[in-house]
Amino acid sequence: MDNDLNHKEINRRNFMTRSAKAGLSIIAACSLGYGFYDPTGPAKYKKNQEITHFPDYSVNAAGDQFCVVNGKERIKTIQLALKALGGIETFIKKGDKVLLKVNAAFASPAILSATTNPELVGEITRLCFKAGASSVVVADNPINDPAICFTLTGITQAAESAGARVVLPKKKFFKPTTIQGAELIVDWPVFYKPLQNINKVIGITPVKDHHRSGASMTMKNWYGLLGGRRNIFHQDINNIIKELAMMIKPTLVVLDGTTTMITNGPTGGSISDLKETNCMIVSTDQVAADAFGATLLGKTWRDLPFISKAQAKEVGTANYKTLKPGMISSG
Amino acid sequence: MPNAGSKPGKAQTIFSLIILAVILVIGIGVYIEQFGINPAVIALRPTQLDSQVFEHPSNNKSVKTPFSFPKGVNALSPLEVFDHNTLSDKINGKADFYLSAGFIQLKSQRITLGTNSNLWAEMFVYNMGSEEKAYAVFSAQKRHDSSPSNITHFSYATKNALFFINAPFYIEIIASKGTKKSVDAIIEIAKNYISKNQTNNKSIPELSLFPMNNLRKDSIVLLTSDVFGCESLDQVFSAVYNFSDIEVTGFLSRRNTTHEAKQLAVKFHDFLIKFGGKDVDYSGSVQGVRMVDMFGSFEVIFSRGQFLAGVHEAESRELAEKLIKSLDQKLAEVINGQ
Repeated sequence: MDNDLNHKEINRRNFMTRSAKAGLSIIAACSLGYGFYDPTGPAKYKKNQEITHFPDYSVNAAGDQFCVVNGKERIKTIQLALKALGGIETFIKKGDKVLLKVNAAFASPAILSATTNPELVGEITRLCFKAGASSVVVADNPINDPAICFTLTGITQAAESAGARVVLPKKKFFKPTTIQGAELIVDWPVFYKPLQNINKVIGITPVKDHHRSGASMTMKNWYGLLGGRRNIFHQDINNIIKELAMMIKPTLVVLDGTTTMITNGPTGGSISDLKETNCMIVSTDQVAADAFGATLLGKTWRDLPFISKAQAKEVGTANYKTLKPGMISSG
Repeated sequence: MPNAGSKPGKAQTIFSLIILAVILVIGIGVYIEQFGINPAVIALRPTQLDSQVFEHPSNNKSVKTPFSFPKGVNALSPLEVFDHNTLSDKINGKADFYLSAGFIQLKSQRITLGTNSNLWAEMFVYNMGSEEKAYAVFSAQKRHDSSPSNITHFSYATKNALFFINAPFYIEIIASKGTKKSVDAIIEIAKNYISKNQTNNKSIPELSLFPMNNLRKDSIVLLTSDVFGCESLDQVFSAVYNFSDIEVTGFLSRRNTTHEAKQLAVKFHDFLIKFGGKDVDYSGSVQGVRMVDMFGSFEVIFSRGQFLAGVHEAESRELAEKLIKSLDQKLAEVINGQ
């Protein structure tokens, strides 16, 4: 009988050895499991910490406005464009708190036009204060080191010398955000701090070629409000730009087409990538501004899917001509 | 049940080994899968959020540099190193362009170009893994108004920058100003770099496969993926030919086998037809040519040996046929000479 045989061959020493081995195996397995155990798990923010929408920063009384001024000198062209839209006072009132959302994505010099021109930042800051703004904040979440980006682009110096305050991204300045109707900006960290206690938002960005989206203009400029590993959105670039345009309803957008990055965008790197297109576009409609900006890149808005997608979401109109644009020459 | 202390039976041993093998396979699977975790999951973890947004790679690096700079040139910032996961942290939307070409690593550093603090440059050293891959990113970004440089076999300069290949590296040195002083300074930096980093540059054979007549020599570009919008088409060299005022683009791609070249010609033809192209008769002497009228421009495809070749978006049917003939002759010479 097997059982009898087992009893005969298992002695006390044998039993103790085997029990010890079994015990050690169990301890080793448990230790390994404990080592891999994450007591917190992937953290999820509480729902009440989430932002679900930003206020509408547009000025209803101003209506839909659009203006293009031809000229090489940015200060002159931006002044003329704003004058044509009824003056900066139409948009900025006494006591307003203004955010200038610039493109400071790269630590590159202003001559490469990969970032917002500092001269333009300085002038718009001055105009806002002249109209009675109580504060002007300049912000972006660059992909490179923020302080270096703002310094090397010349934006910090231009903004601060005009009286604006530059807000650099910090950990606590981001909140998970879900945009109504969005599929990508869901529970995603957004650079909310510069938008806090602000009642006017002006986006200022240059016209650039972009390897993924075909163009980087006013709607793509809001990409600098995203945190996290936002590069995953490059796989769905047209929809993320559409959702960013849904997220922010700006007071104004300023699309700087004085010098356009025609090739090798969005970084560029050489003066050879640039073309003097001598246009300053100012609009209350970001879709219309981008539709016009496309022409500076030798494209039409139909070549850039994010424009038609944003239009379909009623963010604005791609047919900028319906806004009866003022076309002015700065002489 | 076997006796204690005795050897287990054969069936028991086999069964145990199968179980261990299954566990091993599961373990390997888990190990492989953990590299492909959805980045969104990582992105939303607060600890990761902090580091991804705010901790720049440079913050943890010393100011030491692997680059050797000439006297008077100093590091202005710490060295930054980016891999395929972090490249977009440096060059944003352009990262995909490098990744699809086979990018391995980027090292970059800002440097002084003299005592003037406004005069500086940034050096980007992209390790592309091979000279061909370096050529792909070099040629596809070539600036139209650049001037040739003799720094290396593949190099050119613009008003503020120098671009060259020191295989397997593609290197950009970009100055903050477009002045003679800054360009002279970055040329010195490049020369110094090359002298300290000699590499075994080979020639790229495909560059000599294009017929020379009417060829615009600086127009040869290596397209690595999704060539002409076709997902199946990759590793294609294209070149522009000037016939008086008319430009015609020829292309060729060396495949692993004759069969592969033939199959790819069929796939590209099918792609063109699927997107609205219409077959047109080809009356020339080259065998196996497919000609497609694509909304008024002509696409021509054929294979010769292990080469796929053709003409892209030709406005003139006659010039497309002319270029096809000379491409075929050149390829025949190469194949017969092998």
